[in-house]
Amino acid sequence: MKVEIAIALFDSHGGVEEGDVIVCRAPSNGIGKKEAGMWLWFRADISEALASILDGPLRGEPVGLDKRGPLIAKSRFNIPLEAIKGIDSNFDVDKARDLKSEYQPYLPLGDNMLFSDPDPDTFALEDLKIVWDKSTGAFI
Amino acid sequence: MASSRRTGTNENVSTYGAGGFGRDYTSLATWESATDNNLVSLAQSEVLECYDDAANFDDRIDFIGATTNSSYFRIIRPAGTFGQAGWQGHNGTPSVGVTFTRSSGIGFVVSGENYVSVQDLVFDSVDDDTCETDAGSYTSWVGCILVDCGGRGMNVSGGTDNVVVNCIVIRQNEHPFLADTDDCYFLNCTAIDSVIGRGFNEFSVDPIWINCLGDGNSDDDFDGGSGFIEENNASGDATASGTGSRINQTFTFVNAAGDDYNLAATDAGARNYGQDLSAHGVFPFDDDIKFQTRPGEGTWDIGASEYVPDSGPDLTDINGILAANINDINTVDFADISDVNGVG
Repeated sequence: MKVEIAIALFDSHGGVEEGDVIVCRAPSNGIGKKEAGMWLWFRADISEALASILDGPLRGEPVGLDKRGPLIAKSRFNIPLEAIKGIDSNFDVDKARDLKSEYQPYLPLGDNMLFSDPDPDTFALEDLKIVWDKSTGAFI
Repeated sequence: MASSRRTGTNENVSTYGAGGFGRDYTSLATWESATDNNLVSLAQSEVLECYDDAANFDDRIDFIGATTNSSYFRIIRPAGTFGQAGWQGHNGTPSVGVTFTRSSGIGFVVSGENYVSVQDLVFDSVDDDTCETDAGSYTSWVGCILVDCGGRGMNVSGGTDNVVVNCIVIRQNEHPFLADTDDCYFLNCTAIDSVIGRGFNEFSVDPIWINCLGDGNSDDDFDGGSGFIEENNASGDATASGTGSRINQTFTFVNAAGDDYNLAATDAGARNYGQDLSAHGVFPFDDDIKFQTRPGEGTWDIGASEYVPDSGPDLTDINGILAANINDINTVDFADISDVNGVG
């Protein structure tokens, strides 16, 4: 099934790590004004089982400690930017990390933050082996 | 006067809605992850104001990670002001307003954060458990309406001093209001026609139910346990208990067939039988699901809705109408007398 995925391009106080899968939803027509720079959006063709897991509750798991207490993982799954570079040599990791660049090579933005390509190519995430499962310590 | 809709100090407001409407966010999760900061050190609250751009939004959120306190915390609410043009929330019924649904899975969860406040949203046909405080304290679910959702409705399963206030749950698949931890408060809520489970239920814990109304729920309107606080509740069956509670009541709503469970003027089951919670020790408030000030008639009502009689300029109108009617009646009477006399 086709889904729309957004991965974080930043680390946060609350446990977000760069590459964390933050959104997995049915394909939409566009994004919000504040959603272009901090997340990388793309479409993927995945199994219903994986979609259900990616879209499921976070129930943040402690992944370590700092002086405040347990550090919570915001997302169980992560897609490293370097892994995307590994399957798409044109992907510009530095530009993606520039949160002001609004770099969206896979779901390019048109007027009013609508996607200019309503039917873009999709990643076959399960075949590409680029989704890291923090709970197992391995790519799925 | 304390509204049940808590506001944060120094609110940083972002907008949410459908793509193409110029909102800041189209995903709850992106806003959540962008704002899971140390709000205390930033001295800032984060608010997401939702716009009714679509019939419903198939979206969900886990609140987790932000450092908060009673001044600086996160809020989700409709945009606008109730009763004024531009209000994006409901009108006391689930027929209008920002509505969240889920084709599969659960709805909104507070997974580990304090002071989160979710206000005045509609949840329609959420597939599974709908709204839950799982881990977090001092959270408030206020003025929300759940209709035809699966799983549990308003569920508090962790933390302390979490409150559910002025909410209505209609035809929840199981347990419209559920306490699965001690020291959680269900205040002025209404549970109607659950498919499975009690309207107000608890899993061997000690919640606080005050001014709550249950009617037509599948098992019982209220759990019959002991050890917890029940006051001024009302049930259609014989299960409400505690000081000031009323059993076997018949409630009259504005339009139950149309899912309008606001109390009607003729209600005799819940109107004027509640207790004043404006000085409640944990969550003082004095308004209802439609932002109306309680009490409407001198004494608080039971349930999410307060009946407030029309007032103000109508008095002048009534006098005018009465005077006109009296004149008309006099005229008719005189005419009738003449006619009668004439006939006689």
